[in-house]
Amino acid sequence: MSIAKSKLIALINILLITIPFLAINQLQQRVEAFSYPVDWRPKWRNEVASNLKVWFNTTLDPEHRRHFLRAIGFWNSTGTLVTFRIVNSGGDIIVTPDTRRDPPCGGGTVNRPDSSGYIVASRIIVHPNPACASDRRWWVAVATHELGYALGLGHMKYERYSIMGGAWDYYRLPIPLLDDILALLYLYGPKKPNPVKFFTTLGGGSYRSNGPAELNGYPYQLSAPASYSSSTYTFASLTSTLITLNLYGSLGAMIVANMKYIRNYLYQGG
Amino acid sequence: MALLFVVAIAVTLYQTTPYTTIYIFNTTTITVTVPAKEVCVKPFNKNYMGWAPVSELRKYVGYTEDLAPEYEKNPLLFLKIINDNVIVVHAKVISLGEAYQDDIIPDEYSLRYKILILEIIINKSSLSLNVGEIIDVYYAVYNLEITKQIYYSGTINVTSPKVIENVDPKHFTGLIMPLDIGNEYILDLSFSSSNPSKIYASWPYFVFNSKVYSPDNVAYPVDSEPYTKAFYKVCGMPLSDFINLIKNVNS
Repeated sequence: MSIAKSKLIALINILLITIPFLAINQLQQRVEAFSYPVDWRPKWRNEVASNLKVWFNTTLDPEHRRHFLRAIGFWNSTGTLVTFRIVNSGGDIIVTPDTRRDPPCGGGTVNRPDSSGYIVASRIIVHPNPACASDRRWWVAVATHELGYALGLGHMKYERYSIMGGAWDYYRLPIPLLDDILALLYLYGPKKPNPVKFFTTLGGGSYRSNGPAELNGYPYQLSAPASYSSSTYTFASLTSTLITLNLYGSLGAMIVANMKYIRNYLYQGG
Repeated sequence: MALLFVVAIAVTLYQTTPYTTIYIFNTTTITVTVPAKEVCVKPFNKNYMGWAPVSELRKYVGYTEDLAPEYEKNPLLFLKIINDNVIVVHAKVISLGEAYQDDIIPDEYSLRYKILILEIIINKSSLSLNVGEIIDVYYAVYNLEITKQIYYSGTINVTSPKVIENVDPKHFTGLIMPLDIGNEYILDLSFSSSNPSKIYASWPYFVFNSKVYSPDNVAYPVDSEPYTKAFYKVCGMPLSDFINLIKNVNS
């Protein structure tokens, strides 16, 4: 064997050993985004969160209403405790086009906590004019994002894995993603989702872990390429269950359900 | 080739945040010459009426906002009016009247002011306003006494007066510090098409010595930086230049 060839093999071996660790490193950084303390506040009381009443102010235009209805469908599909329900008056969460504050193009959320750290009311403000942004998908992302605030979520660090990121440019999928679901489980789950047992076959290798720092895989497949468009982005590779998350029973099924929702959404063209 | 109308405004701005110097709108390119980052000398609001500090509101109310990404790339968009029911005016605050509780959440009030219209900068609405006219406008605030009741009782089912005749400023504050009597502001006046007689004032820019300051570039006796980032940061820009800027952005 030539010296050059043996050096090449040595280099490949080094890469094979190093790459998984690099991936795990990136994961550890990402996981910081949803590593809320278990007692993170504010949040709704669980009995309220399971039946959160949403009231649309009558002056909210039908277009915005549709965006929020869609966003509510996304959150309700996550399979977590949190469930939104539309009501005709009152409501825990009020969605309003607030001419009193007339925000620029976008949205805002005012949460009203009590001294125990529980949210008792929330007001979501959206700009009354849908024409301030023509991208309907972006408006759905705004609705999903603001509802995330109303649930008690904060800005997440990694937009690729969360609808609660701070950079709107990354919101190519206007849906709750894994970090959001994990954050909800932290807030409203029956117990802390840790340790996480995880297995995936993504990336040509297999990894096993006993900690949340290695939540590899999902939703890696959901990160859109730079040239994203609904016509080029498919989920053909997600026809089978690639990931099993064994938290406390339901999350694995929940994520599969969520992926199904994502597929349906994209195939409908947003 | 589309017509390109180029307006170059060379203005000396004293800003706390440096911006890209060229902003492009559909048919207009606006060049704003921005010097290197300089310290803003915040004017003291000598007419400050003693509102509760915004920092007090932050203890009881969580507020977050998200704007379209182009707003971060092009902050002049904050001056762009995208709703026909908005009128931009330069006005002086004449007096303060009652506070009205008129919404679902009981600590949300509207302060009624009388303002004198000094200049109408933008009016694409159907509402007719004239320079020299004195009109009623309302400003959204929180009644902190009620806010605290909600906070400590854990419910929004608390009693709050529908009208408060004698407003004590120390019990009220807003996402942006409320208007003070005697001060001049650039204001967005907006109204609901279902109730055009009730005009709300929002996004006030402080006018002092014929210069314009954004809400967080005004010195208050207490920590009262606004609870929102949704405005164009300007500090000490000549009033006439600021008005021209608003007009150009909306031309």
